[in-house]
Amino acid sequence: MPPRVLICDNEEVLRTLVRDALAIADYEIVEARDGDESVQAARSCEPDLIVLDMMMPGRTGLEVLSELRSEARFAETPVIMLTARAQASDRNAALAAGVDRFLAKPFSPLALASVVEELLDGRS
Amino acid sequence: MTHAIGRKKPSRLTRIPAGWLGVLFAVVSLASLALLAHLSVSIATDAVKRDAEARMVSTSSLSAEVVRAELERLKELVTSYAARPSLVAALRDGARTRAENQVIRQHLDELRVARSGIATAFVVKPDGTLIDVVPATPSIVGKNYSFRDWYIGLSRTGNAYISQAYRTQAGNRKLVVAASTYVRDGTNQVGILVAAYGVDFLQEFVSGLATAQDVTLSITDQRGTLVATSSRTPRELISKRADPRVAAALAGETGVVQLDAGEGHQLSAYSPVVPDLGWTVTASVPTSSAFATVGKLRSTVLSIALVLGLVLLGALLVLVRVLRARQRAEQEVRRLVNLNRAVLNAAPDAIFMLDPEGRMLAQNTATYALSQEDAMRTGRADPDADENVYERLREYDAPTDVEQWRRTIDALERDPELEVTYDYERTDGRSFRVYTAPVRDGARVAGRIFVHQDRTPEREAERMKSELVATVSHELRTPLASILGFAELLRHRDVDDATHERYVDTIHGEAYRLTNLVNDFLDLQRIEEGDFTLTLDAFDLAELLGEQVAVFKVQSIRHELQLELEGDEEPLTVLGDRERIAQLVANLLSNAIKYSPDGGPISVRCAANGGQIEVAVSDPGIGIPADQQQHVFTKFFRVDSSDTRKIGGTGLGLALCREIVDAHGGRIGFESVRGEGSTFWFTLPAVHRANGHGPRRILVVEDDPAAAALLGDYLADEHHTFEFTATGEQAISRALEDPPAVICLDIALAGELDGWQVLAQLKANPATAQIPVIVCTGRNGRDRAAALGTADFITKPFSGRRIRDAVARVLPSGGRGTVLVVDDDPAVRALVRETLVRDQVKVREAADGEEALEAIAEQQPDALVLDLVMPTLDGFHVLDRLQDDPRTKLLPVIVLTARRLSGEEHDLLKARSVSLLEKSAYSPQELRALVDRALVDAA
Repeated sequence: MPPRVLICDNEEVLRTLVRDALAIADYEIVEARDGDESVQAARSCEPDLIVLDMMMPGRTGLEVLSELRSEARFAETPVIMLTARAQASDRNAALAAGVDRFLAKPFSPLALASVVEELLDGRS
Repeated sequence: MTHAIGRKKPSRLTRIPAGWLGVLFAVVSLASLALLAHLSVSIATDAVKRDAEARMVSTSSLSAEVVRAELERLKELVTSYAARPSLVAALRDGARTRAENQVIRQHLDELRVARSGIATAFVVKPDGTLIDVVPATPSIVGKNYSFRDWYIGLSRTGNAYISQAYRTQAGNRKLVVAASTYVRDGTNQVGILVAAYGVDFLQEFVSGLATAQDVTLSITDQRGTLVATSSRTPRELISKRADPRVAAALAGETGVVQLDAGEGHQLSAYSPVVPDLGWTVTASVPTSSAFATVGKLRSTVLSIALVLGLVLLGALLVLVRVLRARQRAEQEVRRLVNLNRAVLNAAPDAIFMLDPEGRMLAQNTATYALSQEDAMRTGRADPDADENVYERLREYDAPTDVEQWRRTIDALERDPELEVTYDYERTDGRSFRVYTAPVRDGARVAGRIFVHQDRTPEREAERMKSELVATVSHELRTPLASILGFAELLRHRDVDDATHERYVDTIHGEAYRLTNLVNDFLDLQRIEEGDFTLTLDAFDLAELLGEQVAVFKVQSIRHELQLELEGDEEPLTVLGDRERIAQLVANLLSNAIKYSPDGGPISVRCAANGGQIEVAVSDPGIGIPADQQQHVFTKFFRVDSSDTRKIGGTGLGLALCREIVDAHGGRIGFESVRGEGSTFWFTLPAVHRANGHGPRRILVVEDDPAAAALLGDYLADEHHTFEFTATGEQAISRALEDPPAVICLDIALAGELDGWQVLAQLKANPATAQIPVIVCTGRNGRDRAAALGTADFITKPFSGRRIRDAVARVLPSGGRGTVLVVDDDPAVRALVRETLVRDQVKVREAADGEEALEAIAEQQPDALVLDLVMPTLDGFHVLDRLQDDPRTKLLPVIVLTARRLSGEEHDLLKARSVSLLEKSAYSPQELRALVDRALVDAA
């Protein structure tokens, strides 16, 4: 059973980019288009890894993360935060909230792919 | 809180101008000084005068006594000679022997020398016939002298007698007085013995006396004839009877009198010598010498008074100067205090100063307002004047970080030298910055100043700015992430052709999006900063809408674009920047298409609505949720819902639209229902007839489209066409190419030239100098405009009537109206006709009231010029009739009359709001102005 990756971003083009970046491996991709959808999707599909955009309409990435981390089943789920907000304060806030990796936009899709691979390997 | 900068009332005295005070003091003190001087002089004068008078009286009495004694002695001498027996014997018979004659001669000789001064001595018979005389004068012997006073006086009194003065016929014909006495033989009078005493000897005597007494003496006889004076010997018989002193003395009185003697005043005393002798003595001294001591005293007193007065005046002058300087200094201090207070109060920041003990020394109104606000919030009373304000500041609980606040206040109170700037935020969300520093008076610390600045707007602006930066950064990074990401995938992964093409398309699309974003953002930025100019042009909006609809029709086949034009009988002309309006329409159409993903009809409606043209773009799309509608025109805002995610956009388009419409003086808005679609609309100022080329074209030079459109609106009628330009350069070139009838010129213009430069250039060029220019501006400069030769100067905002009046005045207009002139004098009618016809007014005439009413009934004129005094029906009756008819009730009337109107008639005319022009004050300009106004009223 291939690992399931949840991609949360309100920009379709970015979701496409992440999906294409991860196309080298056999992942099951699930997409969510805003904060609320992200929480719902996570609960329903229980992903192995979440790629989370920080700035989304509705709930922000941080709010989504803290909600998910409060549930035991998501306590250990690896989360990669993608954000256009690249200041140190943003990064610190994200890491404090329990983000495993932090990638600033624009990001390298190859790097993202290897980070995903690395995190999923570590888990398995 | 009390206002520490108090206002002390100046004392009443210091409010009187120092100059007046000085004059008052000078008058009072100099007057009393003068009074003092006058009193002392007059008291002294009185004393001296009394003394001088006493001296005069005593001198005159003494002199009278001496004269009397002298003359008595003369009388006695003559009497003693008359008693000599040999003389008596010699005179006893009528016939005298030679010897007897010799005896007589001998006695006479003796008598003559018995006393110096006896000029002649003689003997007469009792009947007055001269018997003998010495010195011998044979020629007069035998003559009768009974007419002489010595004879008459003697025969009257019977005793020895001193005569009046007379000129003797004997010897040297001197002036003499004579002492006569009878020579008696028993009781028989045998002769009269006379000794004539020369007045010159009397004179010597008087002189001696006068010198001794230091007076002028004069002696007069019983007839008032001057016998002797101390000054000179009388050579003639001079009567002094008219002299009041002599007259009084002759009446037996003694007295003192002050007389004007011609060369200065004289003080005189007079005395009768003896009543029986009948002589008088007058003693005189010049007032100047009598009062010499008084004079000396007076001059001394006056000198002292003068010196005192000068000293006093000098002192007063100094005092006044000092007082003035002090008043000026006080005024200056007051002015400075007021100025300082005004300066402090003008500051928006709360500024106050505490003394080292923490008491309030001074505060401005902003401080007062702030502390009032605090008092309202906390319900605490204002602090007392001697309260420690640090205490109160410590208790201030509005800051979010109260601990930090208290620490700061403590530090400030502890260290008077501390200079610090600190920011704090309040629980109500407002931010403040406080600057505080010691206030030094020389080396001493006099207190501490606090400048309390409300930084809420700045903080808000900062916050918004950083938010904007974050947003822009986010908006830029998203397409950048796509571009770089897909490019990287292209470079490092082998993908099939379809994927390759998709990547390239995505990169291209995102780059395009990035470009649009940057362009929109820069556009918006420029508009917001006001760093762009609209190129104003009047153009047909319908044509522009047609073009844009055509463009977008090609872009989307799924949508049916429809253009509906309403009110199409005249072109929908607006004034604006065609390119910007095109951008605006394109944005709205693009949104309509984007947010109607399912296709459908999109309509563009355009309609004239009053002075505005309204354009509405309606789509059947997804609509805007009600809770998000308020943000639609905010930068970077994009409606967020699952439906909109696929729709790209910068979030700047509508913000840009709003800026463009605002710049044109229009309005923009929308109605939208979620899921049913949206209608975005905007309005632009309409222009009625633009770019005409007739002779009555008005060139409007104005960079504000709303103002230009308003002007066009105001002036719109069948006689005017308009052309609009926004820049001075364009205005000048248009005026040269196709001179308009009149130019309405704004001063603030887009482009390099301002209105003044345009005006100067127009007036300097003979080709355009004659075009009347009306300056319409919000600025000052009426005088400057007049100097440059403008026809009129109108200040914004102005009324339609004002600009219409101005244009009507400078613009020759045909058929502006009909004026009926009613006057029985054909010359007056001709004059009015000539005046008005040149002004393009049609003039009809009527010779009297009846004719006027007929003419009005036939065809109503636009105004009436009416004489009051006319045959048949006079002007007042005409007015009454017009008033009674509803059709003519509002007809403007100008009364042109030669008659002096009574007050009642004036009131009557005023009540009917009739203009009045007296023929005596007639001028063509005045009449034209009145008719102009009447025609505007009628219109």
